[in-house]
Amino acid sequence: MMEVVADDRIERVYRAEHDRLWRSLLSYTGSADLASEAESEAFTQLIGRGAEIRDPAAWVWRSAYRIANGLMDRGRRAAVGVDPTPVTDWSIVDLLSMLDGLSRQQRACVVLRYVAGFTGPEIAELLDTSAGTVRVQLHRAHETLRATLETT
Amino acid sequence: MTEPDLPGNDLPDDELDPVLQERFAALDAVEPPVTWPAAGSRSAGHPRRWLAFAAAAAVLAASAGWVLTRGDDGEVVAGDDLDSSTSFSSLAGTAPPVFDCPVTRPPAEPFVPPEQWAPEPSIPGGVWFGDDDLWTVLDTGGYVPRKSIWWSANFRDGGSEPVPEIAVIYERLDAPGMVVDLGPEGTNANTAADGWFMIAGGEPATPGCWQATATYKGATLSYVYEVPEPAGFTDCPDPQLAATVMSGSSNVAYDYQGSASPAELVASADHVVVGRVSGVGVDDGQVWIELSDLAPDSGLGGVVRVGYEFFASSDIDTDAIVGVRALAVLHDNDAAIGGLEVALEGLWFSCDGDAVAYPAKLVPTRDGWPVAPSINQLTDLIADPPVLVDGPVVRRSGQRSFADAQLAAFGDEADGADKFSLDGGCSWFVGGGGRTAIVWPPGTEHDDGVVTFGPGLPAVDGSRLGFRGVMLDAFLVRYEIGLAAGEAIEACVGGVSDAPVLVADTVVASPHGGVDGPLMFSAPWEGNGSEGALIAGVVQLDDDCIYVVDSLGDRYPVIWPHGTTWRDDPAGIVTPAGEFVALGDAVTGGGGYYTPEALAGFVADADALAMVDRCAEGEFREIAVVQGGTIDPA
Repeated sequence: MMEVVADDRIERVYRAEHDRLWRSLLSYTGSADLASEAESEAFTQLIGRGAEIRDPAAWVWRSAYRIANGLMDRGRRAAVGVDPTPVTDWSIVDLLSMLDGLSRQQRACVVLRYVAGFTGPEIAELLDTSAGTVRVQLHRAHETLRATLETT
Repeated sequence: MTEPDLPGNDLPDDELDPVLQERFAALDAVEPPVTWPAAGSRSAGHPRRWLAFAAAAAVLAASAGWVLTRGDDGEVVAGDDLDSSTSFSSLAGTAPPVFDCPVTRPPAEPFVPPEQWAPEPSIPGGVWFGDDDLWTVLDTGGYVPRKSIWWSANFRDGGSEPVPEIAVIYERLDAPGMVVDLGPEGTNANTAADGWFMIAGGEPATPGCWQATATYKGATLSYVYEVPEPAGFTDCPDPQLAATVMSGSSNVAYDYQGSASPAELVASADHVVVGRVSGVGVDDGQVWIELSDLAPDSGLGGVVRVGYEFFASSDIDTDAIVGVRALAVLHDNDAAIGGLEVALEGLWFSCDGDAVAYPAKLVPTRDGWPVAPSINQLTDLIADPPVLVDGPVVRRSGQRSFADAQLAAFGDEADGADKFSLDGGCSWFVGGGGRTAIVWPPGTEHDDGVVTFGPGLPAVDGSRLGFRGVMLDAFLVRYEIGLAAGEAIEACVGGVSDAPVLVADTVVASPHGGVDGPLMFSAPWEGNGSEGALIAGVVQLDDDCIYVVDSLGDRYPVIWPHGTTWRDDPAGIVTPAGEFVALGDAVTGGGGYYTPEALAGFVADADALAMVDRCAEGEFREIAVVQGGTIDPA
């Protein structure tokens, strides 16, 4: 039977990964709500599985993104960057708004690279895709972001 | 997990890298809120409670300013600063936030329906709400448990429309993600006082803030209602209640929770019992399911019949719950309703020192999410191909889609050791120095050592097959696929919980793919999986290689789906659907990008691989692989 285990290992993972994971989810979903929900749910599931998970850090990252995808699939993406006020200073809202022009997979690749700092193979593993796809998606994301930056 | 190491990894250098690194470093100023699940729930609670906490935390975050807003100085703030050294124990007692439910109030001038109906509903305290196209009843005296009932001037003669196409969805506003979908159809009903109306099912009665949205013949109506927490528990449940519950449903109030999946239930269970569903039926409008062959130690007897109801258990004090017990049930293949997988959760109450079993709900699921119990949806579930455990073959049902499967790719010809094996009463993929237990896709059959998959292709021990799917740890099979499948797989791998298991989305026989003129095509995958990357652009022929040139001017050789052919005059490709795409025309499809070395599992034909080697170009020599079997003219 499954036991609910909240061992020190998971707490250590939480402390180590929380900031980076939440910020990347915030960037990916565009919503603090969804980021919090996805991360909390991932850790809830992780605690439930406890010692069964060999690499809890990798597991929680992968799970959090899957959960976030599910939340967004259900149409629960909150609006971010909706402030229409023109600004000259760089801001988080503007930063995240810049990502709106990307496909979901491109956005995931970008935030996992630049917010979370993962390498290509790690991103591929997290997203269950090939390293080649990550490269191509990042390449295309760069083109879009470059055009966006040139116009801002 | 590795620390950031942007330069020098395998990704292409881009002058944008340092710019984006600098820009995204601004996120470091955003202090994340605490998302750690409530510790008080971890030992005895249910994951759903954590979900509720998480959702509530999100709501709190929003109300506290954690949703990004622009401050007076133009800086973006993310709410209250939280000390990163805050102890978990101190977080455990975080009080749930108060959610202000925007309950829909009746208008000052209540809606008056067309003459056919009474100007006021017969329901005490109720008023009509809506318009001619769609209206319902609002309760003015606070929450009253009731059915999901709707009227329409377009539903004047319910006798001629016994199954009206009314779609109703309930969504928890205070716990985002908790959705109860009553499905696309309802039933007709008529009373002398209220005339013809539609019943979509039971209105969710779980405490919380619910928004109901109904759609009928193009009209949509929404309203918000709040189900209060039950009043304090004062009396012990009737000692006969447990027995009553186990044998019927007429006197039982079930507390439906819209967010629990079997995986969640089982993950939190103190006890799991695998039985089989031996019958299903409808009595007095209530669906019942009969479970039998339950394990002797379940304490549930040999046969249990459970019905659906949505009404709140107003006499239950949740504080009296001392444990959670789950009963997960899977059909067997010859059961009348093969394919239906259900999970039951029982709540254990402490009452005068005695525990009383109280099964609380029945949750059919599809795709891992609860499906609101309506007869129509139940029928849909029954129609799904069942999970099968037949000797060495464990076949998954169609209830769960692995359309996003792309992790595991195996070549059958690239490595002479790769093959399919039947051994020890289990089926395996053998390769890469080891073997992996297989969960076959829907449609797979087994008969005396012959496994038939896809369009009638047979495989026996030693056959060379290619698989694509997801890899799961063995213990996860019972959650992701089903208990019967999980138990069979775990037996195959000797109970090693993290043994890899291949859950196949597609299976293909040799040979893998081939060429047709300058065109390369993949093996006839039977699944619909796709990595989801867009493959779109103009078809180009250059030096006997076909490329797709995308909007950025980059081009990639393409492995086209099986069934794609080359036409010389006029020159172009013919898609599996028979559509012609001339050179210079655009196509679009889904798929992924692979280096030549990573193509195993898509194509193993020698001529095709030679063409790949000749046509691939650029630093990374990526090949676009169209997946899911379709490519369309743009």
